[in-house]
Amino acid sequence: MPQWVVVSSIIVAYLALTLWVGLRAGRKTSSTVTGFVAGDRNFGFLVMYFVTGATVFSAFAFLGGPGWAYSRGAAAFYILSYGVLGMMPWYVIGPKVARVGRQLGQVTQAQFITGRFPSRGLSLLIAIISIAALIPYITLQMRGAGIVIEAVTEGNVPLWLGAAVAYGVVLVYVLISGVAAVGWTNTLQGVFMIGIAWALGLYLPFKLYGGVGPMIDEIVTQRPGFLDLPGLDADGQPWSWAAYSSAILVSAIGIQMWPHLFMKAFTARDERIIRRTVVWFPTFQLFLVPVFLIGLAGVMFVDELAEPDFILPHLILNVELPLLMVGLFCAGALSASMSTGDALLHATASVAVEDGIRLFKPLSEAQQRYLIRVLILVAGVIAYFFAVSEGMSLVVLLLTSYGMIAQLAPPVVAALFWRRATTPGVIAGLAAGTATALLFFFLPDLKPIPMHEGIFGLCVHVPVLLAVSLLTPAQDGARVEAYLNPPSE
Amino acid sequence: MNRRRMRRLAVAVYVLNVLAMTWPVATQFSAARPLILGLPLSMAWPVIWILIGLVTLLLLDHVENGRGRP
Repeated sequence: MPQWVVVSSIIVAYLALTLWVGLRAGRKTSSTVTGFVAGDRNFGFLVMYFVTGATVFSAFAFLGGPGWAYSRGAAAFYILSYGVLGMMPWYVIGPKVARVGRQLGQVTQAQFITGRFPSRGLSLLIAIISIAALIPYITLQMRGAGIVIEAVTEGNVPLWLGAAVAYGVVLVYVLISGVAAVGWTNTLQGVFMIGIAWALGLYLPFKLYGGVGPMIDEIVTQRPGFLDLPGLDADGQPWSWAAYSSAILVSAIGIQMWPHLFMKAFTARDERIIRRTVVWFPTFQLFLVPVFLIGLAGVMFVDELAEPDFILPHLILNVELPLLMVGLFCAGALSASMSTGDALLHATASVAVEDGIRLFKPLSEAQQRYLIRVLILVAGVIAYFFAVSEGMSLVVLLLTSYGMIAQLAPPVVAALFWRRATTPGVIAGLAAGTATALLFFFLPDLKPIPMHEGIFGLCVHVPVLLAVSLLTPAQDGARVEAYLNPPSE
Repeated sequence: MNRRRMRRLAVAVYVLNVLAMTWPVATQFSAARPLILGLPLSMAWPVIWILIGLVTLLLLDHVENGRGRP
């Protein structure tokens, strides 16, 4: 039997297992919008832990992480640096968001913000920012899945087919079981990702260099400066400290503001579970250590790969791994892709219906659930179209989306902690911040220092939010009180 | 430790963490050598802070939750 058939069989078996878990998950969920979008607010600790971890770490981490370490050296370590900084504030903010959401029946981020700052325009603006950021993200996940399958089957299963099969499975379980499927499949996928990353991250350095220490030692000797912070930029030139530091800050501010992560606050059974998820998140973060070791293993062995993101499949195929390992690696990469992709698809459709369409057309619960399902399919098809067409600069889109997503942080913080914040202030701040981030993204030469455009956006956003709020009449007490001091359960 | 002091400690650790990861403090820990458990210092430095974050959160959660908070 040809090797690729064996590997494909392992992939098929893995996908079948995922599908089975996903379909089983939805059996107990109620047929309501809260059931489909927020899992009846009934996720336990184990599921929340893996949902958070597996959703944060996507195909971008599993393929892009080694790619960065391989091509840009120490620059990759910024990805290690922001996770805990991004999650720690959620220990305080997450439970508050959950409490307000439960009180006021919210299931999305825009509902949360407009609950304090009522405005259809604001809701629509948040929905547009979210969807504009989410679609390229989904596309990247699909491409990641397709690339891995194409590589390990030696081209016998082309990218378009691999992505279609993997995301066909995702669509089936998300459409039928909603967020409950996302929860349980992510638990399975999270275990796979962590296990396989550690196995490969230790195996490859030992096989190729005789250990982690000898590998690093050889790289440092042969490529002086490569592992010194802040590493290299995309063109192989030294990266600047301003860019490195601001990448950490904007990612830390943005990470929990991604709608698919933010919305998970509404799925937790109680506040204690959100807190415990934050407390244990650093253990998931450590999974990046073996991921980077995999990429570094390629530095001395693989000459100039045109597309560094392929380093992982490339190494896997050229190191004569046992076939079972190749199959399992593939399952790990698919896990990383699908565990983020499913949450993204689900969030995109939920946001479009709850924060966009429903504002202009009243819908019954059944209609909402139906429409969310239709839009999951639509979002999947759009992202698939981008994924299989070449020449789309998606990484670029994704990088700028972080700058836009980070602009959702000031409204959330203002809603929970600042009594004097007003609706016009929040709208003006968000519009000004997003516009600034976009301006510096498209015209990077205008930047006074080489920082991430999201930081410039925030530098404009926050003063505008403060000034306009103070110049407009204060909000009435009851609404403010519901957010500043939400009654505990 | 009481809750207020623990919260202050957590905020202090957070601020130190931000400073440690960014310019200018990070420049002091930017070299590849010495290797720490086989990892370059530039990589071990953020890993150490992940562990410090974990310990701080565990302590915070222990103190917050040990006092019968919901």
